[in-house]
Amino acid sequence: MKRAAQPPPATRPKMEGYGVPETKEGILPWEWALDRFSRSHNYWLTSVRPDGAPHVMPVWGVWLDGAWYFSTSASSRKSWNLQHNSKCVVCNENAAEAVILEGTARRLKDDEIPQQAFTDYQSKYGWKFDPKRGPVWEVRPHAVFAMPEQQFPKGVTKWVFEGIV
Amino acid sequence: MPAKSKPKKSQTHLKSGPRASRPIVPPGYQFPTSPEGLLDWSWATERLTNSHNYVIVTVRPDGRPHAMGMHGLWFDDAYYFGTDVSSRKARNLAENPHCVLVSENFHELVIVEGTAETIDGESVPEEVFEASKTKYGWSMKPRKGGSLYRLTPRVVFAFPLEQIATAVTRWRFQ
Repeated sequence: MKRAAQPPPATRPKMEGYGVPETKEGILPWEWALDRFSRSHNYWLTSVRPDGAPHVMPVWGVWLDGAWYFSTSASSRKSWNLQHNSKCVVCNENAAEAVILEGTARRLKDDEIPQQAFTDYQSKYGWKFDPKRGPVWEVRPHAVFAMPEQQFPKGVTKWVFEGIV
Repeated sequence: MPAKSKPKKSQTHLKSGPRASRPIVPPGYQFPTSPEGLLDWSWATERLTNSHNYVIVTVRPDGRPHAMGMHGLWFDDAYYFGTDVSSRKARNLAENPHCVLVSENFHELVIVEGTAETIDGESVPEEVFEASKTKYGWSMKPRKGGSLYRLTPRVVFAFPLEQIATAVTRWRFQ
């Protein structure tokens, strides 16, 4: 799996009262998050309904060159929501080593889907990534949070992507 | 008088707890439609009670969702948690009480959609504070700047991955 050439800058999230240090002591490397996120078998995706209520559903997907790709039926709730509001959150499957990605989703035309995404999806799930069954979406991160329970609070890390990806 | 309508086959009314049915998904997903294999509400409450970590999803005033890991207590069909009033989730909930709670075990995933509101410590059952001490070693009683919240469920989904073909269940609260 290819990695972003430049890792995003690591900072601390604003979490007053939890003892998250102001220094970079214990801050995690980007690879910590990238490994856990890209290897996650299941993900859950949060979108927001037009009435403002959040919606969460499990999905499969692949990380590739700084973005995450998934497919969903054009008539699913998440698809309706993302067409109305493209802002979303994607989480890995392990809450004790939670990686939380905030980003923007964009529905891809068939010729915009990276070839590698088809190959990676097939090898990860043994299942065809088929835009005819469900349009393919690309999620680009704005920020990624790591919440490692065992390394809390020193390991709590936020990576900011603005202007990088 | 309206015409008598037959009860929907996809719903069963349990003696206690919310009504179990199937989630509505696009036809290509091949989810079951018959009530056979629907999980009992106790399946969900057991997992919601025993989850050590949770993730709560709220929505910012500008419409962007926000997810954060947290500790909390499921008790008597509601979820109790504390957070600092300056936290992002507290500020989001002040504007928009709609939120989603997710349990930690993805293979027996439970997703709770509902609304959260601040509550006085006096209206929290004492058992919640006791259970928090046992579970996390602290009582959850708010410190300075902290607030207690109760999340009331509207609909709950169970996605037991190993039994997804028969057991995917939705519970709706009246």
